Amino acid sequence: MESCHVLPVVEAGTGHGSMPFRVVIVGRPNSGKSLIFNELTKVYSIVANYPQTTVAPSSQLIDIAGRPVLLVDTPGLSSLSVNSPDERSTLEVLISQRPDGVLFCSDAMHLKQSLMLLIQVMELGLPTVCCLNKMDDTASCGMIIDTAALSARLSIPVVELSAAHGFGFDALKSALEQLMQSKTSNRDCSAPVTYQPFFQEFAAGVRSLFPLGSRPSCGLVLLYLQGDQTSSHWFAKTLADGVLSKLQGMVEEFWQRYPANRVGLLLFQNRLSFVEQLTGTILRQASYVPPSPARHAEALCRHPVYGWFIFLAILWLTFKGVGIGASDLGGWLDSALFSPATQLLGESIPYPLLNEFLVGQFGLLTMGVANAMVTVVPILAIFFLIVNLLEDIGYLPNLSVLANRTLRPFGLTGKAVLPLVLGTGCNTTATMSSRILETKKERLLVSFLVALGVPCSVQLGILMAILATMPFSALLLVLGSVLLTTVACGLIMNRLVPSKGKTVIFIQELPSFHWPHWRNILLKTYYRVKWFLVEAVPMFMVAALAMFAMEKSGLLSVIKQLLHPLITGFLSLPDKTTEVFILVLARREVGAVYFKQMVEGGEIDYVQIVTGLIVITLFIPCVSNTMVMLKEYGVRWAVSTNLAIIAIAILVGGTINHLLRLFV
Amino acid sequence: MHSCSVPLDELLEMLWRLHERQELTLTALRQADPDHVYEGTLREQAESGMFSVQGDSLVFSAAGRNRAEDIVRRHRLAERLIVDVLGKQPAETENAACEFEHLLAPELVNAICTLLGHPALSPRGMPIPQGICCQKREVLIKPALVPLSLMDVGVPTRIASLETDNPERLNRLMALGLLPGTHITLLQRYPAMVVQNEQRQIAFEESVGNDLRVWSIMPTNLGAVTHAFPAV
Repeated sequence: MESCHVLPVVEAGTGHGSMPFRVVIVGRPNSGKSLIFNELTKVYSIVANYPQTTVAPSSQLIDIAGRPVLLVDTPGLSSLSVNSPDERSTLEVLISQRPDGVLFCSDAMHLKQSLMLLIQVMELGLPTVCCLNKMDDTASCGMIIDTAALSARLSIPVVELSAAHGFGFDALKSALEQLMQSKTSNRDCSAPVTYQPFFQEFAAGVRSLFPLGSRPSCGLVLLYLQGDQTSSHWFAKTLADGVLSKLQGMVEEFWQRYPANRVGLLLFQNRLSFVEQLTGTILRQASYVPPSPARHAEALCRHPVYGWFIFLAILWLTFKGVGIGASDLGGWLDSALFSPATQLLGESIPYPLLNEFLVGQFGLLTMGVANAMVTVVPILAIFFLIVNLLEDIGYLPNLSVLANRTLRPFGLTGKAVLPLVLGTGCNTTATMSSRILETKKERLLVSFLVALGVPCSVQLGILMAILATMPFSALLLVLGSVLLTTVACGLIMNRLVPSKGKTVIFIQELPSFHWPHWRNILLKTYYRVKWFLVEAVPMFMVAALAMFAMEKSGLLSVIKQLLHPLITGFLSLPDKTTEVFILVLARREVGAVYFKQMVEGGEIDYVQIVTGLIVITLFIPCVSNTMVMLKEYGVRWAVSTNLAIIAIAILVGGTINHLLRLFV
Repeated sequence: MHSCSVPLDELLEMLWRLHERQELTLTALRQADPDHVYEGTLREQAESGMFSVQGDSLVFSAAGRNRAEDIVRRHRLAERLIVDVLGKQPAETENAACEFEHLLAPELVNAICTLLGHPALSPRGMPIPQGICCQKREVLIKPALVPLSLMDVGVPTRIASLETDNPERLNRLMALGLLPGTHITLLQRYPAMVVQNEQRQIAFEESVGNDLRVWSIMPTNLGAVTHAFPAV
């Protein structure tokens, strides 16, 4: 899955000469940076119609006019005054790594806001090319933009683009080519906006502390003046102690005249009046545009009553599609392809050990390849098709409006909906995308809830497939107890994790609905399934190998005996379930698939199925998710979370088991 | 009247007085304007679309008529306010009223008119043009600035001020362009607030809605309103 494609971040400007020309794509959230990145690099990184799809910078070497160019895709920002870690990583790329050029991606639909950010980026003194993306949408909204005039006023190349339709990339490439030839790294204060004299004097004063060739750009000085962390690190690293304290004295003095929290507003107003005046001359708006049906759809999807009905309907359709459609598809694949093949293979291999190794109970082909292909691929394909469709239309951010109040008692805001929903795709991705949240507390809480209560796509699909064949009460029992456990633990965790005085506020821009781009959806489904296969099929095979070895060496029966009181005593599950739990530890879905086979084989009864499903769903996060938790939140958090989750899973499973046995 | 600094508005005010005397002609203007100051402005502003010159007679356009009426209304209401509420003599009002008519936010005019009981005449006995509030005979003054959370859904409004000192909140609002002068329309209030600004929709929680002070009454007579920033 995409989780393991943690791409290398560009290293700081080390070395010279044959170094590739480093171009960073910067823009507001949901302006289409990743789409442009994909189109230019021909490498696929996930894009979606919601802000903050990209949570960490990723880079790729491409070739423009025979010269190597390192293109870097970055998380979107609304302004250079950043709030969350994903935004900060973009600012760090711009300031600490000082790229050779910037490809600024403007959203033509939100021209004013884009220009506000563009001005700030230009003030950093990096050679910049601006592209106006979504030119296809502006026409339907009756907007006409004078691109040539814009380019003349800003003195940078401006290219019209419609990334979703593949329009304008030739012009963009030739603009980048010119950028590479121009070779002028412009660190002077040539930004289009003229600020008040006291700002200019201050910037000139700070710049004079530096030798002529290595003066910081005006934008960097102004960021520092607003109390920004990234720029103050830069100054602390660059300046000697004596000069640094002089600089700090200058800033303190400035803040006595103009308080720090007002500096940002003042600068902003200067930029705003410049942009208002600029757009007044380059932007024309038709006096009447017929209202789009998309607006009605958006309003319905976040309506306090209809919104929930729509959400439930989508859940139900997904349940039916994944639970029933995927099983049929998988069954057909199995009976038409895999069963005859394994049977044929089984009959043609004379050596019993090799026979068992390949097509036995834990066989490399039966458990490894066939499981992955027959059970998992149909589920994944259908599940991702639905999720990708919703992402592409722009549905998901509306959920954050619906769920904002619901999530408040958990110490979260509506913004946390995105990682929670993404968790149903892959927990690891979800833990990574918790970076879009602003406070550490929110990030910790989300990573915990995702690991505990949000099953990943395959696990969810298998859960649905099993439940679709069971009485409705099983669905209610399993979902009910998982939900209740998650809610209870969420409420408790909100009390336990300290908030450190930072209050969370929910403000989010919502994307407009648009008709699905089928090509993009199918492509994305294809890549997500492919990544799964590349990453998971070897895992299935390793798991099969390990189980085979453990069984043959007798280790398996030792473990089974050790866990016997817990598994059979407390959870009333057959000893064989131990194998499931061992597999779940390695990868959630491998264990789930194995459990499904036990259910299909009729080896366990109703209560055992319910208990088993609850425990598997709540159980420990898989290895890759644990790795990400380790990286993002440290050893203490990862270990204590995992231990807590194992305890909770077994406790809840056992309690439900004993309660049910009172009635059945 | 030379203390008033906006020539076009001053001219429109003069034209309105001529219009009241039913003498809206060049000849009448010249009589009232021996220094030809107004006539100069008349020529400069010929392209403003506020009036046209047809032979000797001057004709207001619809926009010009509205604007002139609004300026005169503000001026004469200001006179009433200074005389009735602040207790000055009518002769003392001229300079202050002249300044007032420009300082008064258009959204506040109807509130002052209601406060004074929709007066028909100025202290000098000149008729005060009626506003919407007079036609509706309003007796209660609505607050001109309200938190966004009290606005009705679907009513276009303009942000007047941000009632927060928290730099983080200010940053967030700035980054999304929710600032004094921004035109917004509340789309929904519950479960989270959603506003529309140009082509964008922005969702936020109620506490943010309470931070945004918006004009509860949008000006009806004036089309374009200049952006006013708060003092920094």
